[in-house]
Amino acid sequence: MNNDTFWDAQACLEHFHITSFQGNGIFAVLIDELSMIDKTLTDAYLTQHQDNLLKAVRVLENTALNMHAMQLYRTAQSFKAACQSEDWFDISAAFIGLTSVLKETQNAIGEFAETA
Amino acid sequence: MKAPLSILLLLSFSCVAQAEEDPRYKLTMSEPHKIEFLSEMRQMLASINGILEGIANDNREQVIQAAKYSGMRMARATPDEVRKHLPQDFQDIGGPTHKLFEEMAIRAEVEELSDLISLTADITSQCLACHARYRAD
Repeated sequence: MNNDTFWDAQACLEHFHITSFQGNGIFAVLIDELSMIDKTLTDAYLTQHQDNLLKAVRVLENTALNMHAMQLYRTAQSFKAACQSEDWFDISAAFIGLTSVLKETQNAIGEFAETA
Repeated sequence: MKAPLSILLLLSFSCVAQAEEDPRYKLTMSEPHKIEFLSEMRQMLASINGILEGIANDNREQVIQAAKYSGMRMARATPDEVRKHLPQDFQDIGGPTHKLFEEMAIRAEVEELSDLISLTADITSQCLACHARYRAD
């Protein structure tokens, strides 16, 4: 999959009204934003706290949609459905998939930043 | 028993002396950036006020709007020129604080507003940690 699959850079920058004023540091902010959500999700997963997982994934869904990271958005939706199934094996499988897409999305933003 | 005037004067002088030795790390930035930076601080305080008012008045929309002002969009809007002068430790407090505001805006859409008091306390704890460590005068 190419970068566009994970992140639509142009749509994201337009959505957030990002201009050259913010500079290239903006990409680090976007990557950090996903890292913070990743950490919250991982903490909730490791403690098997289903309610916190649902809260974190709702934040991720919203963020992914705003960032125009549609693969991440869809994977977050699947993860939320798995969380509601209450089967921890389903949740674990979906969690592994979600963190993988999270990393790919961060890589896509990082690669874009290098060429921007 | 009334304290003698000399003791009261001594105490007030010692308070002044303490204030002159502010141990906090001073953030270095240009005057325009400082104005922008402090304006953001006040906005964050206004957001907290709006969140608390919204919770008290059971006004979900007020909580959402107040939180959004200081969410990740504030972090995104910070110019590189300001960001690159901020120490990593400062950014390690600031980033998660904006994220907590973002979380507030999203959770306020569906959760009981009274359940969001503890999240508000999490935000103010971040504020306290930062103000205890840094100054921008």
